[in-house]
Amino acid sequence: MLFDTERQPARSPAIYDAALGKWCTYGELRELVDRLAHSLDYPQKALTFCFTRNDLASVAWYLAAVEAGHAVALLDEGLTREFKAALISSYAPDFILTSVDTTDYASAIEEQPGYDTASTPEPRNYFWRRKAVPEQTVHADLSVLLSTSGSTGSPKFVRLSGKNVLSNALSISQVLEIGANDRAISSLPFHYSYGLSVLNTHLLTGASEVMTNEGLTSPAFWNAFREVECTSFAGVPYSYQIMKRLDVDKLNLPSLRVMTQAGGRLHKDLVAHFHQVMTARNGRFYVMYGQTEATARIAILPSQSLREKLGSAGLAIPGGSLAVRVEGRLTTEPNQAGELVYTGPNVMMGYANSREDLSLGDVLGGTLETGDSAHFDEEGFIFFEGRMKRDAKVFGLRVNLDEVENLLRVHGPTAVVAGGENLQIYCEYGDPEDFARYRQDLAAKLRVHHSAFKFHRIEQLPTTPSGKINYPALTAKT
Amino acid sequence: MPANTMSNLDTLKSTFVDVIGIDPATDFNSLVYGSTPGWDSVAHMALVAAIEGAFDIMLPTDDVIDMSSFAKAKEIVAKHGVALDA
Repeated sequence: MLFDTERQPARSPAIYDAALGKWCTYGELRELVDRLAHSLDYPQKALTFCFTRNDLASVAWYLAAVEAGHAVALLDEGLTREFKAALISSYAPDFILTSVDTTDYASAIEEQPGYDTASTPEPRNYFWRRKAVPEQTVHADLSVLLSTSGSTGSPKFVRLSGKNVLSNALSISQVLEIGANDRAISSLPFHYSYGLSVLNTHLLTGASEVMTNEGLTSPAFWNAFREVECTSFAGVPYSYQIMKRLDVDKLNLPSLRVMTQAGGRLHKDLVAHFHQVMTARNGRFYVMYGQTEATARIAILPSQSLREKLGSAGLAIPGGSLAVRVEGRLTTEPNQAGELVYTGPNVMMGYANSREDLSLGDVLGGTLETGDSAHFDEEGFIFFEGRMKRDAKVFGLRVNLDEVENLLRVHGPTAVVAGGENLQIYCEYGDPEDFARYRQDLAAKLRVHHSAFKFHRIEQLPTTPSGKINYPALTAKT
Repeated sequence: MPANTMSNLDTLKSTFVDVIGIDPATDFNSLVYGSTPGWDSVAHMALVAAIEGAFDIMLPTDDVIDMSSFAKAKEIVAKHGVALDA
């Protein structure tokens, strides 16, 4: 799907594995993917689980599963053993793929009946194969499954077709003008829709990407960036807070030309700051908006419009269109706030909550209700008003508030609301010692820094007349 | 306890305890960015801010990135004129 010999000459660099310090050319990548795809021979279209890290072997597994015509769920290799086991048991994937040889997998999989360890000739590609071929079918169009919340191991997936993935990668690379000389670095995990879009756009255009698991505060990340002369950087709002503190000009990155931001709203002051930093070095800074439900990208603010449209999320990507729903009617008239509705070829086929759901076709018909409230200005640029759904961004990760509540409800009545960079957690139980324990437990399970969870003891949670938790009343408290 | 009754080394240790959420009885020399649970990039930036606040110093980019272990943090803090007892 993502291979194209015309745009990807065999000797051009494709993926640099920073941990191995090794380049893989497009020719080598294609051969590796072919060999791995062979090991995924199956009597029917299969469901594969790929527990990924940012390394060449994980990328190769992802591409091999797609090339073999299977559906591949991209999951975080860092998920806890319990989350992995729960996901495996609820979806019963036909193949489990990974680049990490740990007993973690073996023990998680041994708890599931009916898996055989299989082997490939590749030194860093490990996999397990289900013994019995299941009766359930996987829809012919289904290609990629992404988790709706990367960290909680939620069994809810976004179902993406090959057309979704390709069309979005094409639109993005067109607006960002990605070409063969561009080189990205995996500053985000590639099981996350934004990280995946960086990988897909660079492969599709014959550009290259450095795969690393190092974070922005690690010397190895910046050494790799400088050594192989990366040209572009992708970040969520939290990444840009770090970048502001680190100071782009002091990092000594002469090859940096493009910075992109998505994954939540970045403060206007930071948008202006990075626009100025990039303009001064003759580069470009893009503010973007998207959702996993739209594969990744929905709108991009063109770099040249940024100063004039500060605070805007831009215009719909090529091939897509936006409108707001005001009193039940879709409109593109300026200055009317309503729920933003996106239509385009990258809108997911739908959600999956179970293996059975994988046989479903497209249930959305290309239209997505984003859950974000927004308005257009006179020239059609979108500006956000707020969020309509129950989720929050904490240090760049989307956390579903209901899931956090569910994890805590075993202890007693709990309500969670978003407040600033934190989750405000109201409990009708517990003392500071309990809260310290819950905080560490949540931090470990959700893989979010413990400072994100603010616990409050409350006599009684406020309720609405219908007896539901009154979340606006709690939000007003914070 | 007011800061002046604590040694600078104790202050540095308690900063790590508070930010990373580790046991105060831990072997501090074993703390390493990226492998110590809880010391991720979010904790790292919080740690830098807390150390700057505790010792009233300002760390430049290179030091922020190089502070990859407790031992390194001691070196960096000392370089900025904070005396650490043995």
